[in-house]
Parts: sequence; C-alpha cells; structure tokens
Amino acid sequence: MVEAIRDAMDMMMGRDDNVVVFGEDVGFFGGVFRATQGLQAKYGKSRCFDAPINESGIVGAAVGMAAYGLRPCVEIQFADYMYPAYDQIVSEAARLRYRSNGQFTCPLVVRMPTGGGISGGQTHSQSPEALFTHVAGLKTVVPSNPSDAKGLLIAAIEDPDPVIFLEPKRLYNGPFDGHHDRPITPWSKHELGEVPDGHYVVPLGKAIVRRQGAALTVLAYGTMVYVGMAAVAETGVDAEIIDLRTLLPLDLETIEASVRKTGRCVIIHEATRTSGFGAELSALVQETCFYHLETPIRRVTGWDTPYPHAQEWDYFPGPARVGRALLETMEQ
Amino acid sequence: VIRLKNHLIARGVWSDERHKQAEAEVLDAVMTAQKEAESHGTLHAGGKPSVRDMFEDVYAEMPPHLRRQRQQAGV
Repeated sequence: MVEAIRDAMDMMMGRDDNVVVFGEDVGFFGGVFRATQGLQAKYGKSRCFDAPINESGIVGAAVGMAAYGLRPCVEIQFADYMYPAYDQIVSEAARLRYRSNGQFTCPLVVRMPTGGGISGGQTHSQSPEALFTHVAGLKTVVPSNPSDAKGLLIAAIEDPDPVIFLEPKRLYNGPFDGHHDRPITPWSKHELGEVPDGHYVVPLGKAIVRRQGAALTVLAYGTMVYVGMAAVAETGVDAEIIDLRTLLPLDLETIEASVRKTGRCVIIHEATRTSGFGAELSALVQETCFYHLETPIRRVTGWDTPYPHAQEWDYFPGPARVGRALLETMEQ
Repeated sequence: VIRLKNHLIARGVWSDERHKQAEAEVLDAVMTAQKEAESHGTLHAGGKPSVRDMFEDVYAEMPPHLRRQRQQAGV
C-alpha cells in the first residue's frame, strides 16, 4: 500500500507543479515508511524536502502555502505526533475558507500513519480519527487497500479543502485480520493489492460494500475491514461488510440501505470507545433506521485506556471480540 | 555532544581523558539500569503484565465506564 501512496504523490507532482511534499525525513531519506522514496531525486529539493521536527511548523507552513495557491501534501510521521499541529489544523486549515468568506482556501493534505498492531506502544499506535471528524471544515479519509489508497489520495490532493489522510500502518505491507500470530499475507497475494496505472480517482464520500450479506451490517474502516471479514468467516454470520473509506463526508446512503435490509448493525474501530467515531455512526443509524432495527446497535472498539504495549492483543478489537458481538447481535 | 566536548576542551575545562571516563561511566549506568529493568521480565521472555493492569493508572480512581469495560474484557 505504501507503493500505491507514493505512486499517487508521484503522479500528482508530475501533473501539477503546485504539489509539494514535505515532512520529517520525507526528502533525502524518503520517509520512515518509504512513502516518499525517490520523490526528492525526481522532483528536486524545492518540491520534496525535509522539515524540522516541528509538526505545528509543518502544518503551519503548509497552510500558508495552500492559501498562496500551492497544493501541499505533508506527512506527519505518526498520527500520534499530530498533537502539536492540532491547533494549526483546527484553528487555521479547517477554518480559513469560512473565516475569509471564501477569499482564501486551504487545499491541503495531511498524511499520517494511524492505528496499531505493530508493537508501537502508546506513541505509535493511536487512532485519532474522531479528533478530526469532530472539526467542521476538515475531510477525513481512511483507506483500507492499495487500490483505494492511490485513488483516494489523488482525490484528496485535488480536493479544494483540507483533507486528513489516515493510513493504517499495519496495512502498509499487507491486509491484516487481527491474527497477529499467523504469517503475514503480502498485498501481492490479495486481489485488492492490484493498483491500476495512471491517474484515477476514488471519490471522497463514497463507501463500498466489501461483502454482501443479509443478516447484519458491519460498519468498518481501515484495518478493521479485514478483522470484520475474519470474524464473519469464523462465525458464519452472513454479514454485509461496509468499508466506509471516507469518514467525512460520510456515505450515509450506503449505510442506510444496508441496515434497512439487515435490521442489525455492528460498528467496529480500533480507536477508544467513548466519543469515538462509532458513537457518531451509532447515532446516525439510530436516527435513520430506527424502525428497521431488530436489535440494539453494538460497538466493538479499543478500550478507553491509552494504547498499551504489553497487552496490545488484549486491547486490539480482534476477530474473537468482533465475532462474539456478531453472534450476540444475531441471538438477541 | 561532540561540539560541546570540543568547545569545553578549547576553553580548558574538559579533556579527552575525562570525556572517555565520563562516557564509560554513563554506559555503565545505562547497562546497569537495563539489566535491572530486564530482571523484572521482558516481552520476549514471555513475562507479561496481567490484562487487568491495562485498565490501571488511567485515572487515580477508576471511573464507572472503565470498570464496565474491564468487566467486559473478563478480567
């Protein structure tokens, strides 16, 4: 998936001189996850460069560039390092259009590796998506596979507004279903690992049904799409699995159509539970599908603790926990 | 560190010998601390704190929602 993300930036830098890429170790080294490898050599130091270890400076400079007419696509090395930049993201990037009555805009992409499953402990494993979906003016994207990642990143760079692009880092090298003790499957052995050449767009705000099913609707994004798939395979529950792809704007139509059909809904995410994005999803499903619901909506999430190091696999909502929720929702 | 060392040596308040000695002392302190830490067990050795521990030290006093989650986790 990391190659697909690099391909998207490469493609956009080649098409549009205004696209600039920078961040910590992004230039010479090519990024700690190699997402920008070769871009500095190809496009030069004024288009792809290293920034100091200063996240507020990275996003702050990018906001200025975007207001000036460039299209910065910056990297925050881990979403966990985003907090110093949060003021720039919320107070500046998200509001520039509104504050200036449309006179200034902020077509900016902030890429961040997100989520756990890599023994990263509390400073390399967090899932802060709800901190962005709560902010008016931001769009939030979480791809789950290489093909989508490329098309969504191209759409994000072309978008006229600031987009937070959260890349589930456990998916960089292959799909991950939560079975951490099993061999890793590379993307080359997965159908969604096939990335089309050239320019294409996966539109922001469009979910996709990853698995058709009649019994229950699973709402997932990022790594949890594969955890949901594994839970379905292991429990035999005929669930429909929706990969949201974009959290905001949200494809409520796809969600509504599915829940109205199945009458049951389980929401899964890695992030902590309280005020997590699952709470918003649950409220929306309740508001739009109440008379079609056969059972209460269930959420399976990370616990409300900092992401633990030693107990990672007791924290991560893996296929066993998701599977239990599927069965409970069916038995009720 | 090298820059500071050179600066201090140039000012005559430090020397290569004292620097070597200081480096050895620091290395020894770090190794001792690491050995002590590892004597309590490492993840590679199989020792692992209990799952119950995961819910501790989030707050001084565990709020009800976290207590419920701990029960759900079965610990």
